[in-house]
Amino acid sequence: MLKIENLQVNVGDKNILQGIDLEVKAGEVHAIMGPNGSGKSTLSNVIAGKDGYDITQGKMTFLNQDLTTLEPEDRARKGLFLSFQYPVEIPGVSNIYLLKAALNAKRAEDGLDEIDAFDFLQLVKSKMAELKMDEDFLYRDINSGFSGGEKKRNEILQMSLLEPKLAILDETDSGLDIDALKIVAEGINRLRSADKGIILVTHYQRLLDYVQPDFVHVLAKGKIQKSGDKSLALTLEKSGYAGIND
Amino acid sequence: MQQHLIEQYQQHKQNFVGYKDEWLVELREEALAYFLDKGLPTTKEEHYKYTNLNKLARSSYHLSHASSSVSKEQISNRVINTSNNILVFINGYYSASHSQIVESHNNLYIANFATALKEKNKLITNYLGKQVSLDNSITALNTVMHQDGAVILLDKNVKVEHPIELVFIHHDDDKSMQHVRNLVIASENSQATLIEHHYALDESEYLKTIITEIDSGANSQLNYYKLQCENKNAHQLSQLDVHQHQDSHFNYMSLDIGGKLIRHDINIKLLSSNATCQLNGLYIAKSKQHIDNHTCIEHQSPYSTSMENFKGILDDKARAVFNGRVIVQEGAIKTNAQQNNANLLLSNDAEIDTKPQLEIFNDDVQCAHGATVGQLDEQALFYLCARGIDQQQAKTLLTFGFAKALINAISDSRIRHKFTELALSKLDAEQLIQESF
Repeated sequence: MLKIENLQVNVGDKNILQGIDLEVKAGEVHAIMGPNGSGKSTLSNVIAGKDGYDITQGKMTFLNQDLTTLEPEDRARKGLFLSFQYPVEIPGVSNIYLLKAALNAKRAEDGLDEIDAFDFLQLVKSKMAELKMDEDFLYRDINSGFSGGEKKRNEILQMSLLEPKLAILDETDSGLDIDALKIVAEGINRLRSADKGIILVTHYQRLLDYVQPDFVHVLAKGKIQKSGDKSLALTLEKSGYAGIND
Repeated sequence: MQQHLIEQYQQHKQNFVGYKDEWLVELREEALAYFLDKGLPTTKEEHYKYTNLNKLARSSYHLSHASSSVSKEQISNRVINTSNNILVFINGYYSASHSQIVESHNNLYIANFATALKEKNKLITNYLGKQVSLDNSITALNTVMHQDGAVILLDKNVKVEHPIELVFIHHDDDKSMQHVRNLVIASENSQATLIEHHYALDESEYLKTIITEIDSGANSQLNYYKLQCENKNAHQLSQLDVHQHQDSHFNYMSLDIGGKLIRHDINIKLLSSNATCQLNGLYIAKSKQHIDNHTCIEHQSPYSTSMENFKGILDDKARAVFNGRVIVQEGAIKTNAQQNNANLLLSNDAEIDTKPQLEIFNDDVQCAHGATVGQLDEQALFYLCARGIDQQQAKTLLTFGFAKALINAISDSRIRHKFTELALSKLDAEQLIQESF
């Protein structure tokens, strides 16, 4: 469903991604690992459509459509979801408003009517219960005053409500204690199915203990240096990123 | 303007409220002499540095006409609650048929100025012009020409159950002027909520001055809301002067969305110990609107508190001014004064001139002020869009989000709803109304 060929991206004068090739098919879970500054977040942001990145070469398609011509909101409505490494605090806009507006935007894209207010509340409450989130979170401003763990859980809540075709989880495990990590991992596993793709972007392999990837890619210096199955993550855990370039 | 004002005064003085009261005629003529001498303030004067009245000074305005073409619905659609106490003024003249006083007893007096002058002559003689001294041209202009206004007298311990809504409607031909004078005397332990509305039913150009004098007695509690929704060709120059006595609370919240050129002077004197005021304001301006809030809070006694929070949203070529002056006098120890002014600029051509002005004459005080000017947060915008919300709606959400906390601080739900509704309509975001509650 996602196909990236020779993607090269500049930020200012700096060449951050130097030719990425990646294909994610339905039903697959890919982990992209790599040291700090390797371009992992750049890749996530470029797929989601963030401004400030200059694509100098290459192709990027999602469900056979050219992604580069789509606005971020159109990508989201077509089923692309980015769980942010640093979810943004938005004072003055309530969480429940965002959840409902996001869901209805996607439903409109799929040719469905707006969700009934009662059905919505039932749905969102059941999703919150799965993530062990207090209902108070619905009425608080988006991520405002949330702890690091609460913000990440809120991302997973949005994801489980929207049921995206492709989810990219950028460092979702960072800043989570072990209990929260398990809850978040369960949330990701619930999404996992034959018609959905998942990309886990992570620095450490500990999330991969709970969400087993089908493929592991090592990103360093703007290129995928090595790809393999989940055993590659374990090798990395033992010997670090240092030996990968060879 | 000066020469024209003499003609207007001569032409209309026989019809003015109180034209048989010698003291009032003297007051008007004293003010006329002042205005003829000074004229409107110019940008050379420090407190009018950013607000240019030159065009206004060169124009001639005739005193507004009475209008009989305002329907009851045009009022009931605009008030907060049709079961409140409502005083309606059309083009500056009181309209008894549109008004209703739902609460009336011996200890509460709500009337228009002309009636009050007959019924409470002595009291008005004692109070009028006491809060406001004849030291500026806007006061002078208003004093010369004032047509009518509201008089509200609360006796000791009176708690007014229903808010008092003062509705000022403009519906006249081009180049009219109207001048309103309000007087509120809240005695010891009294409580009331007042709402001042300004609407226009046409697009004609006009000048409106409003002077409101409030005496807030010991331990009294007043909430004062102002909704300024003049038309796009309107000039409004207003002045609110409040004298606060011991333990009194004065809460003020304004919303400015209308007008071409708007200037508010809000002067609070905390005369006795433990008096508290909260001044909040939200201004939203587009196209070439100009909105100027000048506040001056004078702490004269110990243990007094002032909290001030003004926010602005400016788009297109709009311009706003915020000048927050706080004076802490020598004896006013343990004063607590907090001031904040935050602005959101949605266009490169919008402009804000914000200026805190603290004058502190003793050491034992807590004073803080802050001013910020910013744009929409790009990260937040991307976050919302990445969830499928279209960019225009995301911008509106963030813009309203910036102002929301200020509106949500309004404790009365109906009043809060009205502020929300008007702010959203100004932001072309009426669709958010359901989501705001």
